[in-house]
Amino acid sequence: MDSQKVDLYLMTNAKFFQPQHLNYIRERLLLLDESKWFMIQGIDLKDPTTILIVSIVAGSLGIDRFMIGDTGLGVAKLLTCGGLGIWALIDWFLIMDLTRQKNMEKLQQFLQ
Amino acid sequence: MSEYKTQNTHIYVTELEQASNSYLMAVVSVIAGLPLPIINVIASFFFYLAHRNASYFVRWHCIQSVLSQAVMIPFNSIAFAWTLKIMFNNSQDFLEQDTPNHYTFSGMFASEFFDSLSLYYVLYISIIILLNIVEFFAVITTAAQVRKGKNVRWFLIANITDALTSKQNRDKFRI
Repeated sequence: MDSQKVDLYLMTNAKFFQPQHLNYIRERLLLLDESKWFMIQGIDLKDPTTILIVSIVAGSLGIDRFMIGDTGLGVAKLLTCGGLGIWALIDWFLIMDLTRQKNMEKLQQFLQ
Repeated sequence: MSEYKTQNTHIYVTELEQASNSYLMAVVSVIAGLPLPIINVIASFFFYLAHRNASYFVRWHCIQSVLSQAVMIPFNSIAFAWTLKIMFNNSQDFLEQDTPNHYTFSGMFASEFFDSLSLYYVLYISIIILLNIVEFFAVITTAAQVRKGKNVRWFLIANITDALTSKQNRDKFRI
């Protein structure tokens, strides 16, 4: 893939990924076929800040987990009222990195 | 024997934040979990489990955070159990005796409670409260220092953490 396109993608989407993964993403995108560009553009990346706000407001209902795609854990969190508050509290500090990890997993499907 | 890559020594700013969050979360969970003395340890442990694929630096600080909380468990648990024992013994005595009408339950209970406190109990609780306050502020200081990029090592706990933390690179996307 064209390096200008790759750099443009990284500039616009850097906040969705962990900084230590950006080198890996760049290398893999450069090796990628041009035909996959539109597919990568179409990936629904979640904003970590938005998920953090959802986690603070509705964390004990597991909405944050549902949003990032952890349906099973979301149901468990909902049924246990956010793990009696402990799980909800842990997720306040965890959910942003978790969101970035999920975004990376989504992108990784196209990078392989 | 399986081979593993050693961790890249470069530490990103977000990793400093993650490591600092492990201490910060322990502080918040102490406040949320009072008076139960074990909530913060459980929270720290699950925080570590969530970060077990993170970099060596983050995992090291998560484990140090768990251990720093765990050190206080025996002391806090004894204090908690001792307090419960005194409270339940008092309420049992109160129910068994003939209560004069002019005494209220709460007044009677409070006076019985404070009369029954032994010197050892008061001393022990005072020391435990002092220890917890020291630990609380030490954790806050550590969180602040780690966020600035300083690798804070707790006496003795850091050595145990060194032994427990694997140096294997578990982040497959990091190059």
